[in-house]
Amino acid sequence: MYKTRSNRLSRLLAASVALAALFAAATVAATPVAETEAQLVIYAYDSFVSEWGPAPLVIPKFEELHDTNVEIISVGDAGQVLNRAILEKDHPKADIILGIDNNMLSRALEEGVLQSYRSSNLDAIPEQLIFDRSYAVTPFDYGYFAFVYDSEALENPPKSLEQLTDPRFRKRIIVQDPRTSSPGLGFLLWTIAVYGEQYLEYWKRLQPNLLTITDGWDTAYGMFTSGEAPMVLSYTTSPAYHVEYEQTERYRALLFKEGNYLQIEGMGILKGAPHPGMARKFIDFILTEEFQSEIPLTNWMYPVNPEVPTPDSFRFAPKPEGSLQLPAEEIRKNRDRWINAWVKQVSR
Amino acid sequence: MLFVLLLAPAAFLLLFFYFPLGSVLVGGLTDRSGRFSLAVITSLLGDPYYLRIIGFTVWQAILSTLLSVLMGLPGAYLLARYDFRGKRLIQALTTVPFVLPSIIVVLGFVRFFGNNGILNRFLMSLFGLSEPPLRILYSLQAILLAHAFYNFPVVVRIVSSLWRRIHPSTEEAARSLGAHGLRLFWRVTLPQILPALLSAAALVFIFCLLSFAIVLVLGGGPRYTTLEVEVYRLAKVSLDLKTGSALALVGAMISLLFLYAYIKLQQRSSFAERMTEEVERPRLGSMLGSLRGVVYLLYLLFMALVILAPMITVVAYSFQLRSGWGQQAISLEWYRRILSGGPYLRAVANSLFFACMTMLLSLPLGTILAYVGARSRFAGGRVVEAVMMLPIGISSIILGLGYLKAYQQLPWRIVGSWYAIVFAHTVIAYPFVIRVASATFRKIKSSLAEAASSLGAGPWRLFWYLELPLARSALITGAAFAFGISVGEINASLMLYNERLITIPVMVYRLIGSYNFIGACAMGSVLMLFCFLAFLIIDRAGGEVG
Repeated sequence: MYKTRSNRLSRLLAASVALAALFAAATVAATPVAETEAQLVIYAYDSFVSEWGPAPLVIPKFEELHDTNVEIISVGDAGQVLNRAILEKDHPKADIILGIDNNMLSRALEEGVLQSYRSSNLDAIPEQLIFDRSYAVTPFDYGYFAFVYDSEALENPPKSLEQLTDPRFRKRIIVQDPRTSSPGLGFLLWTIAVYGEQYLEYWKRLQPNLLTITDGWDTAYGMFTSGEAPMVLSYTTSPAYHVEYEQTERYRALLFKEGNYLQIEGMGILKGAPHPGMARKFIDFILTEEFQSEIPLTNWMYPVNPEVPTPDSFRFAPKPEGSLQLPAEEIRKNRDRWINAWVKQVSR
Repeated sequence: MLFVLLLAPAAFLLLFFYFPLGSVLVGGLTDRSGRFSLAVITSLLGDPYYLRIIGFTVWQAILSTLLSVLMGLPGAYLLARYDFRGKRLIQALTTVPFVLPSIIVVLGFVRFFGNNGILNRFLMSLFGLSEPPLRILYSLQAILLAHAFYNFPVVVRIVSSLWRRIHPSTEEAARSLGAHGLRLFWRVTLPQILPALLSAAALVFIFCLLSFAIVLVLGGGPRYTTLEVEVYRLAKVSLDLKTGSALALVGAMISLLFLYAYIKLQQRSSFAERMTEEVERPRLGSMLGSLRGVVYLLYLLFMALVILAPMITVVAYSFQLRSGWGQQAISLEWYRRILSGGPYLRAVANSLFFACMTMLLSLPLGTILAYVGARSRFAGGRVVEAVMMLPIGISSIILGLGYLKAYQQLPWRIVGSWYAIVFAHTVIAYPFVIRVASATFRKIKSSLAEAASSLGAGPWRLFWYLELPLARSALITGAAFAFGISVGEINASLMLYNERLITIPVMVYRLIGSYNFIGACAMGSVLMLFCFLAFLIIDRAGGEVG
């Protein structure tokens, strides 16, 4: 009798060995044959690399152009890309890190992980988008944070940051936490750019209108499209997604009187990069139309190259007249203090 | 002999847990010049902000654990003491919430319990209300409800796996002496199942201690912040590894403290007793006429509401064509895409492969450690046992960082290999096997072993033919959880994977990051389906349940 029971356990083990082998076989079968040694290694944030991101479109173009082999590795979100480069500082395994934005720039420069390279293609890019004058980071796209609202659930949306605090919008706004999310941090900096050191007063007025503060953009936006609140902190380009893929114009982005906060994304070559020559060619490449034209519908940002036209759905991705930005150095010096004071305020 | 047995697990843990962990945590214990210093930690502990967070983290974990235990105990009783049609299905189904990525749980909760969710819409149209009547979310109770949703199966499965093996003779004797109802439960039954109850409570407690997105989002914002939010901020956003490690260390110490207290409590409350292969169980169906049967039925209905409704909501959403609510055609678009192969199917195959491997590794690892823990008599045993449990008390963000940091100088790339993911998952999963198994090993009466020895059985035969079969039900439960932890794990996977090694939760994360919420729900539904099937297979292969 005991013997049969033991056999049952062995049977479980045998069954799982068999299953594991089966899945291993399936995995191997689904994997393309061994690739040749990569001649350029890029660390990027996950949504850039994913099936819907720019990588599947732009990487093959570059590989063909230079008859080379690129390995693009997703290492989580943009913060983790920089984190990984810092961790591997003494033994760099990648050539390029992608996803350094204007709010992270000073941190990247301070760590000294990047080397400078000024691509001659930068001549075609508007001055105000070239956010690193030391040319360690080259911009490839930009966008604006904005509140997106559901036109079927909200009439008379607010026209300014100040109007967001109107009692009409009680518990009708979802924002993100600046401790864990980059739009969240962007919004905090936005309020500081507008209200200066009085930003906490603003948050105090805004607070009754916040339904919840989420850890990331994804949760907030998911709650918004589920109708939990009619306004969410996102990007000016969000409505274009719904027009392009869901054929609906119900979601709209709001441009505010005070201006919207600007985010510029760039990439840079790592110090000690194993393939510096190819890396420079890639930096040249990202400013060309080949790369830039894929940005709007895959990364949901505006291309930095003004020659490149945006798709029709971007009519619903309005660009603000005035854009706001804080100097990188000021952000580096004050960020933790700002966030800590903010946490105290909203925890009340 | 016990120590020889320990060599392999010890070597594994040293290489794939303590070494990578240490390489990160050392930052929290040194000053700028690299000398040992407690300065970072003491400055954290002197900061009222962090003290408040630590206080709240522990407080919500205690409340969530109590609620999960209260909700799970009747379920464990029903599974252990009654037979009913579909029992195997229900057991597999209730284990599914455990594997779900928190983002899917949040979406499910919001779409069901939310101000604009199914429940409120239904009540509003029923009573003609203009405002949602139930404000369930964005409060402490929402956090507790979601934690109960996640952890309820832990309590049900762990407690019932021991309960079903306890011979009812003691209860019968007590009943014949006049003990009934609560008194019988409190005096006789509870002491018998207490080791398993404590095991389950300890695991739930630590899970809630590390909870992060659920607390922030469903709690309504930073008012409810747990330690893990700050670890995440420091390690992933502020890129301040030093303070991040120090805070993770503080968290680990809290877990250790509670683990130690609980192991002590468990040992004190354990008494060995007669275990049986299976207990005779009446059929639940025959009781439906009585009051007791009605109470059971109400309980099952309530559970269905809390456990099944959010899951069904996610599945229903996955058939939509567009985001939002309203009149919508049902669409199989996302399932067509998933079945068309490519990265989706690869993610499914990878997840199942990692989960099987994790189960295969953590089962022997956990069993050996639990066995040695339950049988050894040496003084520091409790401390060692608590330390062995440490992996579940460590934030997987920190563990992932440890893997990145520790192995970067090796000539071959461990990060980006399938075994790095399997090892990380194993490290997170095996404490579950230990906890479930040790509760049972402690219950086995030593006179059984003595009888077997006197008949000439050596220690190996004793273990293989006597103790292992009695612990079978516990090991199956442990295996199921190891599988579930691996399938649902995201933090470490996100740091260690590459395109070929993509998993289902990583895919969900990607879909959501590109506006594809419906696709994410479809992928989440596939995850639920496969886990449900896997739990059924694990139970059946192990001969579990009636």
